[in-house]
Amino acid sequence: MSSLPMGNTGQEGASIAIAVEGLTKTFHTRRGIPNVVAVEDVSFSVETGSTLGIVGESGSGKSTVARCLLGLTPVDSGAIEVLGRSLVGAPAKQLRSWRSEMQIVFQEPYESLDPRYRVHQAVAEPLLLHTDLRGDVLGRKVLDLLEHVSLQPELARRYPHELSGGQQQRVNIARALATSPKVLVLDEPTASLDVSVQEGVLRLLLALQEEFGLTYVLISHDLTAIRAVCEQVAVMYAGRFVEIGPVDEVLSNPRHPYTEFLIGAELSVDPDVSPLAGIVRGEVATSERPPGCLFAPRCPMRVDQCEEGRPLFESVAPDHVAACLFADRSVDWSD
Amino acid sequence: MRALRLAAGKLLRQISSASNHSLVWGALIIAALAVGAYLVPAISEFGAEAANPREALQPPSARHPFGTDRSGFDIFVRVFHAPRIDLSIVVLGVGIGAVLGSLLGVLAGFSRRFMGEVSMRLADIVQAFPLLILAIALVSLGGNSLTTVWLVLAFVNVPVFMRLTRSRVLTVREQRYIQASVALGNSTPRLVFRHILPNSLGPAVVQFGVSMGYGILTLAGLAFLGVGVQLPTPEWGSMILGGSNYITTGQWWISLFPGVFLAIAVFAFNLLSEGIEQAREVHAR
Repeated sequence: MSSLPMGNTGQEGASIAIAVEGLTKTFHTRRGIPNVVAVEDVSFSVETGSTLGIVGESGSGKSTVARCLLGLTPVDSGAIEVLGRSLVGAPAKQLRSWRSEMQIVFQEPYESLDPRYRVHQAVAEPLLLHTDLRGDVLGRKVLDLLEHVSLQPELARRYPHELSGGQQQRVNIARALATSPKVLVLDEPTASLDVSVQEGVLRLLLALQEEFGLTYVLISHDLTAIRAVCEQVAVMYAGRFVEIGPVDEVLSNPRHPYTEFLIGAELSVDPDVSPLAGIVRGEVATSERPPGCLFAPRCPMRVDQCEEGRPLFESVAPDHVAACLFADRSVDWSD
Repeated sequence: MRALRLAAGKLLRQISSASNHSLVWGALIIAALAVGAYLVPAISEFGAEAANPREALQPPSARHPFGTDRSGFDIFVRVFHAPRIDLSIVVLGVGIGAVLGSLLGVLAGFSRRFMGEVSMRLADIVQAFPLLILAIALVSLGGNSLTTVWLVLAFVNVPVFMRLTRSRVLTVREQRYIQASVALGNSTPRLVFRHILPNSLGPAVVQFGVSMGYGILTLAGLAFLGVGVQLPTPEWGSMILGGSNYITTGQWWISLFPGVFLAIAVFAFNLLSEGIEQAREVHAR
């Protein structure tokens, strides 16, 4: 099931920063409560210097993928290679030393910062852990980093609770960039920020990517952010990828009904367009895992065949695949 | 002299205008007790352990502001002298208990597995006994000495701080910033001592004041029961015991003044811990 036609893996000259193959993660809960399958058989790769977006609703397993990518959550099975190093089963000490090259920015800017660390202490911490910089040199480096994320040097001595949400997230970004990582995982970096601040943070991320040639994995449920930042996008549902492809192609020509639903749920600037037009009812099923397509219970196009097995990825355009029996649209489903 | 008085007045005004009255007054009272313990005996004409049978059982007067007891000890000097024993034993005992208990609490909260469970059940056993009875039993086992008393205070406080810190660690370790610290590349020891421990100590710091108050009561309670500190060592609990037989015959001052000072000391430590809690709340917005 894990044989996937991948994004741009075949192209010449492009090096791969992240390669994930058959990633599966189940959370074991207490006796009597069923286990939660957070991620099932997920495979993808990201080219150096590009951005993969992962979208999906709450509980679809996006954040688990993010944490597995950095070895923060042990995986059940599958292979994860970041910058050519295999993370699965790597010794803790080795993993720790690799962390200078792969970093993460979390969704909650305030909660991600130790409340007892001033801004300059927080930004200095990765440098203390991974470099020999100390004293004045360290201090200058910290100020330099703050400047890079457009934070005034006066803020360096503040505590996290004395900053605004946007400033807190800039501190998180500065801290993540301190050791010049090559891979940055962004787990909904703008979700808890004001819309006006969101744009600033996204612009900053794009500028930093250009400056340092960073590889991003952007987890989000905000399609606008995905459109603005990503080259590739993967749509996730109930722990599985259901569609992957170039962002413009996937969002303008969605081939999986769930992708269509996601796009339909986005608010339109036109007030006459009802956001409820294509609504799909119900919730993501994480505890019950029928053998067929996981989206079938909520799918408007469902046929009996859908419940016979997980649909395989079908290529619908160059680099664009969707895991739906009707991905090629040979069946009229308009009803 | 005038400049000194002005400076002192300014300091007092600043202290009374500070928003955290509990913290300021708790600390001031405790500091005053500690300073008085050395100042008052130094300037008094009577020694804390100097018996004078010819002046026994005298009521409060200009010569003996708090009166004298049956041996002719000056109660005023002894009441002020007592914190040398009371405060130092309690600070030592509760302090060691707090440090040891907090460290064990961090380990119990962080390991969460076997060690955590076993240590918590042991703490349950210790805490299942009434404090004073356990203390009496331990002192009678370990010998009737001051060393045993502070060891007992440490022993009974270890489970208190362990439980408190452990429950806080269980919360803190799930915080996002702890995961973020792992992602930054912190090793486990650094994670525990630089991130989890500092963020888990808050309740223990507050508890320290409360435990100090209880510790003073325990020490005095033990002395009152004749365990631990003995006469003629000046100590509030043993002084209350020494005067208890005379209350019915009218010599109320022997027990009253040490009792009042004991109450003030406990009150001051409770104020202090309340003040610390307030200060922490402000800090944590």
